[in-house]
Amino acid sequence: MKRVGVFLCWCGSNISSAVDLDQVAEQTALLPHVVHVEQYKYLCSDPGQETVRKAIKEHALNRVVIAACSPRMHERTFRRAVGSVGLNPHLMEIANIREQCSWVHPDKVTSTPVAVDLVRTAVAKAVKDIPLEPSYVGIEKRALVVGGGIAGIQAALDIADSGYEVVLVEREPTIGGRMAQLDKTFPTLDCSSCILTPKMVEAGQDPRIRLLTYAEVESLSGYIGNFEARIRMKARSVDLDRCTGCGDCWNKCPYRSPGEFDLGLGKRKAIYLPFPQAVPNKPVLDRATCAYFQKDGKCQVCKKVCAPGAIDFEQQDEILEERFGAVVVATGFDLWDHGRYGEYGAGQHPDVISSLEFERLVSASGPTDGKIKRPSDGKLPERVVFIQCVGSRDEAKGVPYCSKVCCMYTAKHAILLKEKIPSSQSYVFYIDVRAAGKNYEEFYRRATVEYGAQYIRGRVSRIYPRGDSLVVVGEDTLLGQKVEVEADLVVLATAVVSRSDAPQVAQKLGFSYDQHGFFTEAHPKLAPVETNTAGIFLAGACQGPKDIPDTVAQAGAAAAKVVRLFAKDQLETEPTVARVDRARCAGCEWCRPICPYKAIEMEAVTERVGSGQVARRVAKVNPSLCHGCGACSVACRSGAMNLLGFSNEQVWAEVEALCL
Amino acid sequence: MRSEAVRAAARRLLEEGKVVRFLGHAPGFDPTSPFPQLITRAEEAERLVLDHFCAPNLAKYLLDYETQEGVTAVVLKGCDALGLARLLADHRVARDRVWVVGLPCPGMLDRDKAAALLPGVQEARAEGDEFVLTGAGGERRVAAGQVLLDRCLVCAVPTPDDADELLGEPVPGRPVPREEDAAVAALEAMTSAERKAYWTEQFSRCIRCMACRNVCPACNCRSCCFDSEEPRWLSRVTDGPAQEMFHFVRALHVAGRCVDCHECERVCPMDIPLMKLNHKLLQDVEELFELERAFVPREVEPLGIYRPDDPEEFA
Repeated sequence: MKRVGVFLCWCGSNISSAVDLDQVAEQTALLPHVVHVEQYKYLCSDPGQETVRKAIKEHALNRVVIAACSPRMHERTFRRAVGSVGLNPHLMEIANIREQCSWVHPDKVTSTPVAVDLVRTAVAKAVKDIPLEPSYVGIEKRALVVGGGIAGIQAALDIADSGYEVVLVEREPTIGGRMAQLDKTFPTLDCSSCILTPKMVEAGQDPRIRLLTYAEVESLSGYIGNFEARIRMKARSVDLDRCTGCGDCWNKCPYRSPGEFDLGLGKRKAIYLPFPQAVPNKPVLDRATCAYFQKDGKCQVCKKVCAPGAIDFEQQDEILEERFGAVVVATGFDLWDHGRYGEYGAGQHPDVISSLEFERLVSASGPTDGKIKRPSDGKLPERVVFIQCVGSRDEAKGVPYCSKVCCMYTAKHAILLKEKIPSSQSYVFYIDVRAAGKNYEEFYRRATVEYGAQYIRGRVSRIYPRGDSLVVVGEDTLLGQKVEVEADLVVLATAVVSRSDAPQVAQKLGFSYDQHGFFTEAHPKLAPVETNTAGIFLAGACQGPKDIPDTVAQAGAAAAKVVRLFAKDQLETEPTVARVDRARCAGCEWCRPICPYKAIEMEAVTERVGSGQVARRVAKVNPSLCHGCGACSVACRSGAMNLLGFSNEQVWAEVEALCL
Repeated sequence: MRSEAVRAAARRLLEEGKVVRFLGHAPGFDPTSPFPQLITRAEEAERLVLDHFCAPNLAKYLLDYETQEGVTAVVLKGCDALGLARLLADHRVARDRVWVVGLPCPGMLDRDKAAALLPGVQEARAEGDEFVLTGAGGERRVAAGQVLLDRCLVCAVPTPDDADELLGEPVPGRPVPREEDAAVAALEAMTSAERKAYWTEQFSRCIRCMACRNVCPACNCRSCCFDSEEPRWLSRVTDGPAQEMFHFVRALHVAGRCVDCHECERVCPMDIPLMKLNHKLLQDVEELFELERAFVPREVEPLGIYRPDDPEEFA
């Protein structure tokens, strides 16, 4: 005998002001199996849950329908409340009469019948609810951190410091990431390397952290607590165990080519250390620019001078297969290519540079040893124009969002320029100055007041060369007049964009990304470091533009989520998984390849046919791998695949309740 | 046509013990509509026939023996062999339990067309590009194009490519433009209201005899959704929206899996043009997934897997 109790939540006035709940209650009471209907102002509150618990006992309810907000909000709350009085938590259904009703309908006349329908549908489903039990799986207490920038380093350090093993995978030959390319950091003007390098060294030396540099994650399978990763160790041509990092090889290597770390502003050898503080402090041989590989197979200078015999021309890519319980993704960002702005010289003029290039020019470890020499002729620029929002906030050609960090680093650039070249003058074209952050506004004020940066509000329409300088034409929108500034160097604050291969990375690892390629958090406010795949967390600018303090904070938060997971010994899995009706299953395997979680295998079963036994194959669901997405139950033509909690019978009952 | 050859093959295979049963055709109540015939002893081979009226696809009868021991021999034309390929791809039949006696098919006759050309027709023999029909009404010589089944006029695969033995030399496919595509184009040219009216009219004749499902090699489930009592997906009523539901669900369940054998249309007693639906879906799969010959079964079909770059339009 099904005894359904229906509880209608006012949600303060969120629901009650837009839905005639008395009328809903009246009509609901007439439904078959419904023995109790009750309203409450805030059902999710403690006394609200208590009314549900009390009614279950008093009215001997064995099914509960909560008509309230989205199940995403409070399904867990009410499952727990129902479970606490001995009812199976899955004998509770939620009718979403807030997001799907009161919030979207204009008045009670339209919304009330919808609420009645939603409640009737939920009652029909609840009547067909069956008790479901979770299963438990163990946890591999090792973390994989993808990306060795400041976010990845911080997350790895925090997890390792909590006593768990970490594998930190970085595709470049060294960890350090973008922060290693920066000179000083706003708003304190700490030297970026000085605060980063100790963390890099710590990560390199911590016995619980295994650094895999020049490596990439090829694939990730499995599920929270039990991921399996295939990691490609790219052939470095250097045996890291033997190499002492003495430097003989890169000093003697006769071939130079533009260095990636300096964005092509400086040169590096074919065997090289990206920058002096690299971790591991050991070189990589770039086969694409090495004469041994590209020309005659002779050269071999590096091999000849290497005393420990660490050079290995025969080295091959290697695949490692490792198991992890959790993954932190910290793959960082790229900068927008300003070559797409024809009016700014389409990236063709050597003295129109990006802000990151400016960082390399001003850095003591950069190609000019920290002297700001302009790329075209090496002259010290006297007049420098900084242009903000290049690509950012430009829906037509660039990206619609604000890149968040450019206002502050441009102020920093103006300060650094004045310190290095006291006679210089900087001009900053801006749309708004966004200096929200601790000590940020003060920092920007210093750039203008103490360092005399001249801020001009307006966009630049054109940059063109005149003699050996550049003419920057724009509009001062405060004065309402055209401005022309002659400059020796123009620095563009190009937008922070996602890595060009971010979508592929997200697909490979199995979580979602937004229209700009930034990885999507599970909830923008309440789950900002989680992805919608359990056990995979996000840190840093791969999730959206972020400055260093925010990145470090987010990395710490992601690490805390990993540690929180590892503190348990077993994981409860959701019982809403697919189940096979073997009698109906024909073994056609249509469900197997369609499962995004590889949760379906085939198994042999024997059946009695006539007087004999016959073996045949049917589908089998691994409940730990199944996420309950329902793809298989849709793919199954004979309806042999059923999603518990959302069974074919339940969905059908809902459709009938709604349509008939 | 090849009756002697098929009898000889059956006798040999059963005598040698290579197979324990042999599926072929035998005369029906009327010589122009033969029945499927199962024999298990060599001496029964005399009952078999193989002539120009043996259109029925025998592949699906293999499912009747899925739980029984031993190898089954089956006579298959090129189109029928695609049906077997469908059963193999769906893991419903194991290839090593089947012995395919392939018929390089010269085309099968449409008994209705033949009967219209020569009332009381009993037999047909091929002579070049013509057929000679004989029966109570005498003898009549007709062009192949007048009397072949529509599907045979545009047959691309007359010879099975996976046969264990062939009854004769392989026959090349016909390089005829696919007229069905014109039928699909005509449907697509209609407004949605016209199309709705067209299909409502066609489906209104359906008596839900299930012949189309029963003959279809792609409809090979153990338990069909149309037979399910709980939940009862489809009302038993044969009018109104239930007719559309039945036909659309049937077409979508074979979408991307149809082998283009035309058996559903041939067996439909109400002459519902089912292949128009099937062709439309085949054509969509070919266009959207940049596939050729979508009717040839594959291990994993494009509609049977999720890929991030799948086209959005197929819905």
